[in-house]
Amino acid sequence: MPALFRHLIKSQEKMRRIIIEILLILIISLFLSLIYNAVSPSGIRILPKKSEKKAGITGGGVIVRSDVARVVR
Amino acid sequence: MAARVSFIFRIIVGGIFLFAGLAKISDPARFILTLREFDLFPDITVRFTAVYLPWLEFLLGLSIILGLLYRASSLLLAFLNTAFMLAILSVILRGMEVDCGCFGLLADVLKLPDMADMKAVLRNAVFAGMCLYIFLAKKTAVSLEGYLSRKDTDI
Repeated sequence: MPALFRHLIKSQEKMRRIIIEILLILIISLFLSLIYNAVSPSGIRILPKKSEKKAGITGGGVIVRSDVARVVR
Repeated sequence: MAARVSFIFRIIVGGIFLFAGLAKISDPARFILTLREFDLFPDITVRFTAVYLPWLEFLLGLSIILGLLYRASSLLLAFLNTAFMLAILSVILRGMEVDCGCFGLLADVLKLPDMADMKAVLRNAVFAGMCLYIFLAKKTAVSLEGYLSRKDTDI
């Protein structure tokens, strides 16, 4: 019986460790992706602008930062 | 033997997802257009996925190759591959012919087949199986985790 409890506790510790590692990977990749998207010229807008929301524009074209820069110039 | 097989699977799966992630990171606009063709999620989810998923794939691939947090990475990748399979199956059942978007720009450069068809479903099933093997194997050869744990016991 004690061996079974030891085995269950060890399995629980292993699963807890795996879950923590999974969360770590998810959070690190989230930060990296958002930072890269913010600084990259090929970054894209994730949230629609208020003006787009009001006009009911829900997508269609994809605008990247470098395209906007070219149009502005 | 199992450790060597696990190592080989780590290199294959890790390498594929590392490069697939890099290919999509370099061209997020193309990936968005591919995801929109699947017609599964609202636009905000599509945009967020186009930004986040490539980096997740890249880090998972890197972690599996290095053998650091590789069990967690392999479990996550198995889950991702299952999700990809379901997405592609939904496209097939709706009779749509779309790009899989699995390899982004790399598919054009290397002339890889990249349609969302049964071959893609089978490919993802094989990857999911390899990831599960990596997760369940008791040991793996040549890993950063193994090296670090040996270093700890030496001290």
